[in-house]
Amino acid sequence: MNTIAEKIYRLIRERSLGTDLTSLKQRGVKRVSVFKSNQLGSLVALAVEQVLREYGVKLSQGDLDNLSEEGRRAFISLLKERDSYKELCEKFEQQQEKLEMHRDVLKGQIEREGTMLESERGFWEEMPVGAGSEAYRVRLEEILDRNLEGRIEMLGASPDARLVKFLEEMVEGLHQELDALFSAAVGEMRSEYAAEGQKRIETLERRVQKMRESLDRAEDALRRAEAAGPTEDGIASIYKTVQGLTPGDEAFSQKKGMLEEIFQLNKNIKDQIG
Amino acid sequence: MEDEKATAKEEEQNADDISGGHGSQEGVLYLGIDLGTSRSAIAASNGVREFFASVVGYPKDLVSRKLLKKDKLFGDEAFAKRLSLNFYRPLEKGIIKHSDNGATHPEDAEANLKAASDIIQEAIRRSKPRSDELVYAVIGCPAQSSIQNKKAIIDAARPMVDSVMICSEPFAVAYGLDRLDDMLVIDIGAGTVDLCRMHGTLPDDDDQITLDTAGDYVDKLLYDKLRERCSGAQFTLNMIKSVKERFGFVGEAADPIVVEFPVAGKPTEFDITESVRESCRAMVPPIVQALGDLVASFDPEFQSRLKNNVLLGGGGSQVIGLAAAVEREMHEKLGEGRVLAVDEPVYAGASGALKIAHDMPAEFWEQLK
Repeated sequence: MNTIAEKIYRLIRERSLGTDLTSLKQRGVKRVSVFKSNQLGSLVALAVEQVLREYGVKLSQGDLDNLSEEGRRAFISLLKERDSYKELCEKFEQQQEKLEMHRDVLKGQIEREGTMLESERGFWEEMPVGAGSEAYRVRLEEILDRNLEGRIEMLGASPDARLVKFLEEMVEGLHQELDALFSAAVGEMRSEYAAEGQKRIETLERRVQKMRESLDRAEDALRRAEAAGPTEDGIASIYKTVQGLTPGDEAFSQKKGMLEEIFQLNKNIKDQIG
Repeated sequence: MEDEKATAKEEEQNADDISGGHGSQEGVLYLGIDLGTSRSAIAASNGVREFFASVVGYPKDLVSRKLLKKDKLFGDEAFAKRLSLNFYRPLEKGIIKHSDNGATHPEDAEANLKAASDIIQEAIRRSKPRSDELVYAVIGCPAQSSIQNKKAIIDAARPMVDSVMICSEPFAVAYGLDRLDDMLVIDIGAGTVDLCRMHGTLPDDDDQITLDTAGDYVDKLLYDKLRERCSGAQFTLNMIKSVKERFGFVGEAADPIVVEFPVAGKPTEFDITESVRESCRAMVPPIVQALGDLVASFDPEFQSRLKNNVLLGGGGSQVIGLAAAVEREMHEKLGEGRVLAVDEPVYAGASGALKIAHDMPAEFWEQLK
């Protein structure tokens, strides 16, 4: 014997036409009738009525009408339920897409900022602070050497060896002083540049850190959404606010001490997890 | 700098908007979870109470995935379809497999951690939390589980809840029943038997003993006995577990236990009464020995009170006649004893954890977020 579900299915099949658009076009059909949900509901109600008759259930017309009405309502509510679930799924997918986009945007930003940070770091680390000053130093030394040569020439063909030595020593001394001066100046410049560079690197690092935190939050949200799935609203808790032990509770101080210890143990674990 | 602040604030706001405004919850859902080797139970402050087998399966291939229409199957559904699944029972002796020796089995450790994480998340999902509620969970774990294992459990729960704490399983049972003084709690699970001495403060390591002569041990014992005694019979450990859960008893049997096992493809009846009795009875001596150890190291003035306040809980305590058998053995070995079985052994741990969650002050939850 067929089940009620099979009978309903058969009845719907008997009263419906299954075909594809191509065959309809080939047959010159331009318009087709489409069942509205309430018509389908009536159809199901009719099927139930027939099945009940077949099974020999004696029902008054009023009962039959009620049953038909109930069947129709149940069917419509099922359709509504399906629609709302569909809507829920769509919303969930949209939210997930939005979250994924947000995550990707953040990832892109972090990558860009990271590259910028690296190049800044490289620039400041390899800053050619000494290059220009070295050229100046070389030029000054050349001038000093030329001066010395000029002075020696001025002394004639056979200069006093002691005077020449004195001049050479003086120039050597000047060279050394020049070196010391340049080193001090370059050092000062370097530290000024370094401070500026460090400041800039720190700013960039802070930005990258903030973006990473933002990315973590976005990924957490995505994970939560994925884990929760397209669920319905859920069941509300009986509590609207956080409860906690109250002084009127039985064994209040004893329980309070125990709860504090549990919390402390968990806090230690959390600290270890970082 | 101002720009940076504005950008960061905007990003934060954006993330909050997308995640449903985490700062604008309405209502607080408390969860108590008993993460068991064999079964996991959950009790929630919205009235939901559920338990399911702590197993998870992932479709082996694309074909299985198409047929099963799911990425993960849990509990009985996973058992039923396990041939098409990569099947995991990630908890062993009350802890996540390889969570303590992940360095030597990194792949197994990772797979079991994921499976455990999915089971915890499924338990939370089954509590039907609303998206606009704060979710605070307390998870019970074996009395002597390692710090690595506790960390793994917290990590697994964190994505689904706002704040999470763990506590010793037998303590949760005692707290749930308001039995905090001079009480011995026995929590018999599949992986471990946890014994805990309650004396008005949070029990420390000396107050707790964990035995591995629990449900799985009994299953293996019964399996070995039946291999010896039921010649030619074909059965699996899983079938034996079901037999034990249905017929497990100690003491006098009301009726003989007759089961059918296939022998060369033909269902054949076997009387397994004695094997079931012996296997289930094997749990009793180690429990009483451990009770004796906990009593002996307690203040002598209160030892008698302790012995006469023994609470038996956990799924394994459903073995018929177990409380009486432990009591008898206590009289024999310790001179006296009174054992009371909890009313709802499967939910006692989860209900206790729920009560702890409810009583925990708000600032503690906040600090663990």
